[in-house]
Amino acid sequence: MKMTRRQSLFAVAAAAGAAVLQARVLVRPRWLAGLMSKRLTPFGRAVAARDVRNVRPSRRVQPAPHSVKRHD
Amino acid sequence: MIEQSADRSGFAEPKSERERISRRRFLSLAAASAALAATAACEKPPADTVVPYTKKPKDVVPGVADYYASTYQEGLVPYGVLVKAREGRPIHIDGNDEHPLFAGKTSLRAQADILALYDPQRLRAPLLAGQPTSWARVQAQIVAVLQAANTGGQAVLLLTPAVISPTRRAVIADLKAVLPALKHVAWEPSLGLSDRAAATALYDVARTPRLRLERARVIAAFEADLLGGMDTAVQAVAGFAAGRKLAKPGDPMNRLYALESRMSVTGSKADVRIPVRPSGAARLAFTVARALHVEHGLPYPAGLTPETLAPFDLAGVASQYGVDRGLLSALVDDLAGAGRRSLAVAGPSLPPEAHTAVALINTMLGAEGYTVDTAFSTDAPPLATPADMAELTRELASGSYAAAIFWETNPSYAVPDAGGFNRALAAVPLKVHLGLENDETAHRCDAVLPVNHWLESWNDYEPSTDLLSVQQPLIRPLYDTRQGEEILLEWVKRLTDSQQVETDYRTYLMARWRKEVYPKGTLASFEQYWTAAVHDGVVRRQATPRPARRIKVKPVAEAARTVAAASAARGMDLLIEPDIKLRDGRYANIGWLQELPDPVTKVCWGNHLAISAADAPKFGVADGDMVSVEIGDRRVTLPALVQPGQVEGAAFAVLGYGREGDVSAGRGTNLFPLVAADGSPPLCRSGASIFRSNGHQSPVRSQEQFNAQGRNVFRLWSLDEYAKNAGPPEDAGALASLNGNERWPDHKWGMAIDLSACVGCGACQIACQSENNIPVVGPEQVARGRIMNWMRNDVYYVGPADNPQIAHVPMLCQQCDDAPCEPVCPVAATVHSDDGLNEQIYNRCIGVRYCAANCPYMCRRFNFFDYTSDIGEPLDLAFNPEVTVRPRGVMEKCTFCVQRIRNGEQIARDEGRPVRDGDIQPACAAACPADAIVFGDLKDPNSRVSRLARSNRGFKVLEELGTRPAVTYLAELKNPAAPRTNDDA
Repeated sequence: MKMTRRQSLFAVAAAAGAAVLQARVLVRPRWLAGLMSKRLTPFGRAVAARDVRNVRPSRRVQPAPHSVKRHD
Repeated sequence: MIEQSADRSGFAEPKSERERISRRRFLSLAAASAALAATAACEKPPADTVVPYTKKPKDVVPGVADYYASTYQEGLVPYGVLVKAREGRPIHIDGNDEHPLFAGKTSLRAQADILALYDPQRLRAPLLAGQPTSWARVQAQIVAVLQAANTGGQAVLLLTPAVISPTRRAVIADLKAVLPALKHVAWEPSLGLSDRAAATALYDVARTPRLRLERARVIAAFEADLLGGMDTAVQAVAGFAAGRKLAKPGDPMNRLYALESRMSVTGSKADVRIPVRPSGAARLAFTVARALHVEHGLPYPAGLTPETLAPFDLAGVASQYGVDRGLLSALVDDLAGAGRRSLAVAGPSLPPEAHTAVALINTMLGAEGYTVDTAFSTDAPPLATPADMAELTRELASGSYAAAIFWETNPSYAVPDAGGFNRALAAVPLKVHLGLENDETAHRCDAVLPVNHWLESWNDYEPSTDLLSVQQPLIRPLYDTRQGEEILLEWVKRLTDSQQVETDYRTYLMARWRKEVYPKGTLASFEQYWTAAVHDGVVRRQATPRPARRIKVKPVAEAARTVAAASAARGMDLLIEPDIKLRDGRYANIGWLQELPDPVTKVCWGNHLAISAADAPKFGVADGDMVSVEIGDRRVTLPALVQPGQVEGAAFAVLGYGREGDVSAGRGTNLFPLVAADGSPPLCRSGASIFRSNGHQSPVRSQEQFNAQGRNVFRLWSLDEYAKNAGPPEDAGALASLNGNERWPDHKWGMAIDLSACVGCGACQIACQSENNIPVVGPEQVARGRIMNWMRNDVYYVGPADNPQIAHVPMLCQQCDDAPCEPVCPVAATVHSDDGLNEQIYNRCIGVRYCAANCPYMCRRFNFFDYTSDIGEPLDLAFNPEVTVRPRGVMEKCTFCVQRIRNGEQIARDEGRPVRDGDIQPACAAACPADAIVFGDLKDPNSRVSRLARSNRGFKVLEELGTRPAVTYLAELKNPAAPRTNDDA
């Protein structure tokens, strides 16, 4: 191996940078998957579904007693 | 040589260090990189708690929506509604499709009122002297005062809104029976009740007729915003639209005349709009009645002599008010030609004389009993006028009341003399407020009792004599609240000291139904009957239709003499009406409604004084300049708006603003001080002085440009132009594509919007907002063009500023086949689905906004801020869990309600059948009272949307750009009258 110390440090920094970039930009928006298929992949769908956490209410409520549902 | 050539060909040993990396080293670096990437990608999962039901309610299946029929009271109208609930919480409201009167449609306020249920400012527990207390303690104190009033003979006031529930009426009667000193006053602040005064004089009893616009060929609206501001607008829009959806040239079409001072929704849809000051409406109506007799020989009602109406000469009156005589004659001819298939309506703000004249017209035409249908109308509930409220204020100030109970009313805001009323309250020892919020009146009350929202309540309503509708709760009360009726029943129980009094309102309601509603001899048991009624939300009853009303001529003659003798109005006329969104202000704290732009002016988050372009220079004002309006000793200051179509000499303003509350504080101006309380027409004022005041407040508008600049965004055709231009749209049906129809293997979703039917009311916008978790951004952001509505209603003005035509264009993502937004996205966050949808993938979006810049329809919305993360309990309960909320920095837009499409597909798959036409309805289409929006599969040539896409009125907005939208618009048609020349006239 003839890699200099400086080059190897640069390579490691680049790898770490790429990893962070992947985590924050590439992976999070999942554009890689998008570019490959131009469709939302099952993985992308699963991730999108996870965002439903944002619309899950913070408390349970109880339906009223004696009410009658329309479509049984 | 060989070495040299090897060097050149690249086989030589590498010279630089970089080229000396070994394969092994490269692989190890790549592996390390992948491992680091994988580690970094493993984000910490969001803090979240999955809480299963430990005791699952038997009716709740997580992830599956339930629907409940119920009833929503808005003023005097009980709308049948169908409420969608997820995991026990109501999230969306539509019309009840089994309701015979409303046929699946409801008002936009009913849809928006779901926010009132989850309003963070709702009262959560009783208050005594401003401090939280227990129900037992506060009830004991109130009952003690009521008992003392009973023994001491002092009066007790109960102020409520209109009571149109038979069982609520029974509860009040029960209280009155044990508390004889109770004075019940029902009051709707924004109703001038001139129509009722006229009806009582003409027919002895006031009933609210059902206006059958679907039967009418000619409609004359005298300052009547039939399609917008009037409380019967939902039914009127449906009936009106039914006569506007022409399939081919030559089909019959109704004709709408609007005689009005301000540009109303009705005026914007009118075929003939005749500008006239409100003070001239009654004279004009009597003139039309006389012309029907003189020119067409229609007889007056027996007893009415021709001399009575002799002063109303058509030429003279037309000249007096600057009205086109030829158009007025055309109106008379049309009405006479249509006979009973015509309809004249006077606006609720007009004085009683105008209502009398219009009743005379309908009687002469034979429309009374046909298009003015009172066969099953219920008697109008008693209501207090502003003058009555002024008298009540004097009574309260006299100290003769031991207690005043305000049940879901807000007189401290809405009586004309609110200052005097609030001072009078000081003379009442006990003030009690029953309501949802701590409003202006609650602040001044000793005891504040929180009541259930209607989605937490039982009740019944009588929309007509042959119908009863049921209100049922969907959710247990969120807080320590009680239904208002139960509070009153508790008082009855304690005052009588009897255990026999039923205080559970549902039991009380059922007992009353068993006794008074359940038909004797029915095969079904009462329990079955009741369950069916609650399930359907509405019950038909046996009722005998009433004969058509017979008009009395004496009040007609008196009204004609009054109008003939009246001198010309001095100063400016001022017309005041309830706001089309907030009505009398009771909806002012609902953000969706505040942010909904007015259908005509596109102003939101406030009101203004509309003045004409001719009057503005006289007062030296432009848009946003503050003006003061002075009538007698009352003065109100608000911003001016120069409104095209506003008649010279008259101004217009709406009620409902200037409320207290987290959402409404500082938004707009309270106009109630200008409502007359002296017995004169409360909402139609004359002699107003208007002058410029200090300051400027630019109107907050969702649309700034009202000129289409000749672009192909709407089509407004007369019937002649329709006959000339009719033809299939260029792109319709064929779906020409390089890939052919194979591009859409199963479905190709599309939409058709009939501009002839659309009135721009905004019901679609509210439905979209509720369905798709669209945030409210506030006036500052709206002013910067950052309103988030996926669906908007554009208006375009055509013609002269003093009387323009208006085109309403609902605009949403056109789901273009060749969408300009797609190729410019650097991260492929917007792509096309294989069923023709232009999808927006929030997780991919990095917010560069190229798509918004490239969208010619301006239908993309960007989250400049995080509008949703701070929405906590209880407002988060209103979110639709089927739609992701969007974070900051992400673009969003209409999805054609993709969640509803997938749900419809799933249901069809479960049932082993294809998706049927009509199975899937986006929220906007479901809500549209005009049924102007049709959604479906364009691949199915027989679907409704496919047929409309091939319509000879069809066109695509900006189709010349080659975007190939999936939305087809149908040209708006106008049916103008041929004005008679003055010689003819």
